[in-house]
Amino acid sequence: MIKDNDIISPFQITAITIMTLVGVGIFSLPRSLADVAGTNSIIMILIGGIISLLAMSVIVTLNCRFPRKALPDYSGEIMGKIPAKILIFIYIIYFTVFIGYETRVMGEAVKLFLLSNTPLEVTMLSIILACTYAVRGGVECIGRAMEVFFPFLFIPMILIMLPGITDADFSNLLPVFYGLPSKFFKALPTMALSFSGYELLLFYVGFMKKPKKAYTYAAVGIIIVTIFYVIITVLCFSMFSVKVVKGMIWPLLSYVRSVNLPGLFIERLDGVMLGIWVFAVYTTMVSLYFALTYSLSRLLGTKEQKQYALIMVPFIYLASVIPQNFAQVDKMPVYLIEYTGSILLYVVPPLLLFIAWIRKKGGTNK
Amino acid sequence: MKISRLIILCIIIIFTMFLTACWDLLEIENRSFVLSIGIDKADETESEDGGSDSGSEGSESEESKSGGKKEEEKAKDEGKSNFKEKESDEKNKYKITFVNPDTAESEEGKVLDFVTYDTEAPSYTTGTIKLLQRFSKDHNFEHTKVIFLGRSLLEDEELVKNTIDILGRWRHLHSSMLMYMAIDKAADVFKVKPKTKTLLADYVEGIAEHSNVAARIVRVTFRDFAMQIITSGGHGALPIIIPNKDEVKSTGMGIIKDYKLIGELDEKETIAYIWCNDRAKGGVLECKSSGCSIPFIYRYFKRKIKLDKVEGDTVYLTFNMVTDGAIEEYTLGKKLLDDEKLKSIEEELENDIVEQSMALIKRMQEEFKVDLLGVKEYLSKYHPKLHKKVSEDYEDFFQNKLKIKVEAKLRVRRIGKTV
Repeated sequence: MIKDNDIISPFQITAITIMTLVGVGIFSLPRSLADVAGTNSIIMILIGGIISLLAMSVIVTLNCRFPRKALPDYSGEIMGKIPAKILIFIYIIYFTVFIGYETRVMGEAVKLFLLSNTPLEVTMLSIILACTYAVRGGVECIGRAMEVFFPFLFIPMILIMLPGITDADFSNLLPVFYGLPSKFFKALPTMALSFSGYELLLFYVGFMKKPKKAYTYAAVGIIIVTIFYVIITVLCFSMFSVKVVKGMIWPLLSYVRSVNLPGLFIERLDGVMLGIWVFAVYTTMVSLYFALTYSLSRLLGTKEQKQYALIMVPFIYLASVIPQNFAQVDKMPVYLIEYTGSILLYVVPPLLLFIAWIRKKGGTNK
Repeated sequence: MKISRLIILCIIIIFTMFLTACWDLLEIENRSFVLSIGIDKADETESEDGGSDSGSEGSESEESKSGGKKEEEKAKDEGKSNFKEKESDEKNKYKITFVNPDTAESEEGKVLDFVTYDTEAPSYTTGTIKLLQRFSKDHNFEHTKVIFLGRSLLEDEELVKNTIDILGRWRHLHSSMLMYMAIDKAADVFKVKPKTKTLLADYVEGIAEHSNVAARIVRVTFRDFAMQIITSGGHGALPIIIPNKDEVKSTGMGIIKDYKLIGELDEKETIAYIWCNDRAKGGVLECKSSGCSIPFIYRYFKRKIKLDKVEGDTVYLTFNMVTDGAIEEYTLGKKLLDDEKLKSIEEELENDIVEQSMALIKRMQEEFKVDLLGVKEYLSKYHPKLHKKVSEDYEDFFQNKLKIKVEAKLRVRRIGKTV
């Protein structure tokens, strides 16, 4: 059971959804989309948003059957103790590697653009340690942190991206719909990848007083993220055209780098952008991290999750140094999210819901 | 007592761990901002000589100071010892010239002199590293404004591919740098000492800004150029810069086909190129019919492509050009405040636009055989099916099966103020 003082508000659920979804992926999103969907990317994002809304509602429905409980609490009820523990363990590994991946990409970008002489270990360890601090504060602390960071992340980010519109040629977004059917199924996994993260609702909705409210509030979060993705993609595509974006490692950063503000006291905005982006990565990491420590505490049967935060640091660090080079880092989400994540996101929750319905476990069973 | 000491000790240990170094500290006076870069193909014979030459000069050619004070040249340690620099076996491909403002010569905070350094190397990165052997500051490329490419470099397919990749991949460089093709060697551009006391990069940048009022001046950023080359598969155009003694001139364009320089456009064709690619922002057209020349100034120019019909394999396109502007020069004693008169001038100017554009289109189709008119882009965006069909053998399609017609619509709106 969840303790009474660990409560997050509906608006915090929106903030958590947005801040978790917007992570390292935003820099490379236009490239991965350009690769698979070409000029149909905008449509694919919208489709991805709709699919995410459906998957999200399955997750929230599942959570509504077990109010005031998170996945590690009710999975035992649904599928029995041992299978539940195995499932939680899989989630733990998934989260660890996921945080490791976020850390690594963040480290690589910071190394390349900001601190080229600082050892990678230092940047990566410091952000992991900063995360443990937030995670030790518990779910309320995380909810509030997300709430506070949300405007600080989005308002400057949009402001930074605006001046580039003068250089953009929107005809680069054409042709739309041409060859969509052939690309549709190829692009779907990439969409899953860029929207992954809301499986954390399996954990966070449990902390709400009225989980039913999550339907609207989490949906709003996903819609905002969808719009944000569309804006990023439209700007990058119209600035560079699809063919060029395909070859870019971090299109969004290249976009910001080519925005020139002569006469202003800062001519280049990429440093600012990277700073904001580190916030985005940090929030994603924190919300994943909490789910990780919470799962651990339930797996090992302890009441508190605090003590696991520091213990997991070396494991996360190890996960982050698995890839040997950037090509491997870039390939990592394919294994991590397209294969594992999709199952945990699209298969496990409906399956759990189905079993709960059959076995008449939890809440109302109409 | 003991506990507080322990705490202090702990704090000291933690601090020493976290304050080991500020790895990325670099004082501003140790930075040297490279404002423009010239890239040439290395002169093969010269570099071989350099290797066998006396002493430290090696294959890196001399370090020269231009833009102001030339005299105090190369501190060459001539024949001090028998030490011979061993050259790597790698063949030098590039001759790279960097230009930094000479901060030592600054007057009241204004830096007007610049220092040029050049180096030859098999690759660009090696070049920058080799330069450090004789340069005390840290090069910073965040504010690089202009890149000049030498003619010989552009004639080499491999080097063009390589250079575009370098400029795009190198994290320091900004994609809004201006790109120019030097009429001969890029290094020659840096020998110019501008008449007006400005840095060369600012001077060239200022010229490029005039593309807003003169279509004959072309402003191409690295992003434009890379986009053109990448999306078209190796075709593009770069403005040419001609260095003179105390000034540079931007005129004409170099045509690159399959990553290789194949020809040049003169000034008239350059203007037509800008029109056909819908990049004209302003300029002047001369109407010569009635004895004296009447210049027409435009600040608006739009080009639209329309697909007329497809007959079998042949595709008919129309380039619609629309412009309006003013006439602010005529002669005394003749009336310009006359609709009929203006109509006739408009007609004549329209014909000029059509003629000039058709001449370029013809040259592109017949001589260069390369589509730098935006046709491929148009077809891929608005007629993807047709584009897919013709892109199987696009060159053949462009030469033989594409019929382009130009239509111009010009309006003289204003006629100045007179006295």
